[in-house]
Amino acid sequence: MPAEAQLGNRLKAVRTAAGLTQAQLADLAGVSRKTINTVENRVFIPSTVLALRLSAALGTSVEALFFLEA
Amino acid sequence: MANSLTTSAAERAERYSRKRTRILWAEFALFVIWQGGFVFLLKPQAAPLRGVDLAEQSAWLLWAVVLLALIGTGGAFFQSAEVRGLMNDEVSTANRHEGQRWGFWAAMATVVAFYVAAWIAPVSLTLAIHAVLTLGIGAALWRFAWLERRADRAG
Repeated sequence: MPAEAQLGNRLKAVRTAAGLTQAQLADLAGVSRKTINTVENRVFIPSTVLALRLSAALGTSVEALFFLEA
Repeated sequence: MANSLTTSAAERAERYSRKRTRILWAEFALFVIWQGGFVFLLKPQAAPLRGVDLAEQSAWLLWAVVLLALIGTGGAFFQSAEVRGLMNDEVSTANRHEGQRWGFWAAMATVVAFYVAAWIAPVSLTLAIHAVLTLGIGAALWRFAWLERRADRAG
């Protein structure tokens, strides 16, 4: 894996496709809206636990939400 | 999909989180200005301390301890566990830990600076303690507040 690889995500696209607001997804995942906001905007890299909670809340897999960028 | 949190708890956490960020900025400014005033207006103190000096120094020490508790725990002491958990979730905890890291290095840098200064001239212990607390707590508060504001505004 190249050292400069970064974590990309499709959280906003999947969330909006599910018809959810940031606040609604935050409620479902049991986190604050700020957390959803920072993950979507790549300000914050979520832990494995949070990634799993987000994917469970959206009914999808972690790999569908997060990916490595070269 | 079932809503896992009460809306009121989420709304309260959002509101108090923003309020906490404003408090962090205010405390940072007040603490640094107050302590800066002490450092620059430092006067020789008679031992034992007069009652008024003892009260003043006890007050700032208590203030510093409260701020350290805020930096150490994230605050929100009087909120429910649910609200406190949301206010101190993964992002805020990471931001607070980054603030603690900045505070640690600021305090260590101040200690090193005073150690070197003591080779050249005598250094007041009281002055050194005030400077370490001011810069350590100030750096931690500033970084925590800045990261929280950025998290609120991201996007």
